[in-house]
Amino acid sequence: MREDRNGGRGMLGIDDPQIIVGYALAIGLGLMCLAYGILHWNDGGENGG
Amino acid sequence: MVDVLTLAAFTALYVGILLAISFIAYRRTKKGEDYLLAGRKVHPAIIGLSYGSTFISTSAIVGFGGVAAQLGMGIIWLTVLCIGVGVLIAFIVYGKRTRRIGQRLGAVTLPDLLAKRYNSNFLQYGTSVIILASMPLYSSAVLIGGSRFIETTLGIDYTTALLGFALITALYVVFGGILAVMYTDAFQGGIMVFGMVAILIITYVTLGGVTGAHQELTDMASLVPAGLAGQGMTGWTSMPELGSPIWFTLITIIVMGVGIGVLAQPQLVVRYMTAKDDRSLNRAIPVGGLFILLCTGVAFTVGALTNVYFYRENGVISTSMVSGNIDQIIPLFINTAMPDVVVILFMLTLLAAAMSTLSALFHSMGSAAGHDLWTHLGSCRLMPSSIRKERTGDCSSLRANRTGTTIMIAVSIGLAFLMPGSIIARATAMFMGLSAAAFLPLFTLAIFSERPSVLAAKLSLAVGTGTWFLWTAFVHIKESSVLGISKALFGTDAVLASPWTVVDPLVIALPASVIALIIGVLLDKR
Repeated sequence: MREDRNGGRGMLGIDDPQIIVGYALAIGLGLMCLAYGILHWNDGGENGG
Repeated sequence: MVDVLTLAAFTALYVGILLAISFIAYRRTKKGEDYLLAGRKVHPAIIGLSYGSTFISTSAIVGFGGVAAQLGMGIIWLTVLCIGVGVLIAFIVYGKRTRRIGQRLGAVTLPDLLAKRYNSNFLQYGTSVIILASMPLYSSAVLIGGSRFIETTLGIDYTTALLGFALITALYVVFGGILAVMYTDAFQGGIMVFGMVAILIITYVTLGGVTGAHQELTDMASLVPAGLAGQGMTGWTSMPELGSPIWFTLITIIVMGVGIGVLAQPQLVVRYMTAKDDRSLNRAIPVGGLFILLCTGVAFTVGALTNVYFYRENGVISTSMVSGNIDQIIPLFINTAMPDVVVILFMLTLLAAAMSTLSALFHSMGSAAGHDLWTHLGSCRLMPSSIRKERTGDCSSLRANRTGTTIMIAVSIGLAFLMPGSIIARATAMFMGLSAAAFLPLFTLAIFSERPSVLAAKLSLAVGTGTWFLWTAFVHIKESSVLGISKALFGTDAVLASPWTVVDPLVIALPASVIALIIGVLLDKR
């Protein structure tokens, strides 16, 4: 990984996979929150809660 | 530099809108449950924004943004944990159960929920006393941080700034209760969204696009100060060397920053209970998750990228621009790189972040004093008959809660004047640590066990709180040297040697609290 940092151009200018995975997970979890809300939009109403 | 009069005019407009919202909330707050839970029918978007803006205080933007400028983008893992633990686990695993149990038992606060779940007055009084003893540390820290910011931005004397900041927040919390707190949170959350989006876009445009800006930061790895490079820092777009001192520093910040205690903080737990049903919580999750992603993600990314800007403009990295005081990096960057309108928006963003956290703390302390202590003690048979109250259907009186809130705001203001300098981060960490050690294990048992053991809960509360206090007063050098109890009794600042003196009290007290809980459960089964 460390060799890539100096040699490769990486993704969006970042070449450490640990940082890329961090950003991907942060955005992914944000989108997961969105998906959860949409998928369960009508679940758990007064009668179901 | 933005004209102070323009800043003051926008601040006045902002305060005016807050007070107008508060007046609407005041008109709708008729009884105790309205004051504490807004009648359990708050709109999902308001719940999500209120949760997020209470979660994200000024220190998350300015403090951790400064850390990103110093240590790089690795801190993005804090965002991962904030959303994963602070939203997904908090709402889906803890929030829904808390809401259902709270509604079934008619509980209106965290101490009330625990007392009713365990059928124990001791837990109601014990947890509310811990809240009243520890939360002023956090509220005073937020108060000091906000006032220092107002002092430097608007050029107002510190004492005036502190009193004005506290009184405006007090006004809407005392009269409008949770409804005012959550409506203003949502308004403040909206300002934060606009502010952070504007800052992100302008930063990338200024630095030549997303890839260009990141690549330039990557190419600056050779500029990492020798002191940091020697301890394992490899650049601003890469993680430190695994196991190096900087790696441990970053991991500690990430773990402590999200604060595992976020799951059991009274001011956040109460937000689940304001929801009408699980559907409301489901709909609040996207709002809360995306809000926290935006606020922390932008602060950390822009924080790291300030190095590119300052290197281009001044030939030095960010920490060199502020003589090592990393809390000044984000404000300095905003003031020098952004147009005036964004500077104003950012000023309001920080004010909103501080105020939304502060109002939630004031309200939680007020309900602990007014509802959990006074309303329950007031009907206790041990009280003199002249002041004893009869319990009624709506046992939480509006007046008791307002009085409790007023008293605790006064305590916070007094403490803010007494606390020493550079206390903000320590006081915040102390509250988070105690919340986790004292409340998390027994709160978890309360909502996940069919028949939770009251013995286990009492043991956990006592051991968690006691261990946290002993470690804070006698071992953890940062606090023990300031408190002076260890010095007075044993002639030394810490009774244990290094490395124990740097181990956070939470690391010892939370496992102790969990072990006590398990022992209590096993004893109860025999």
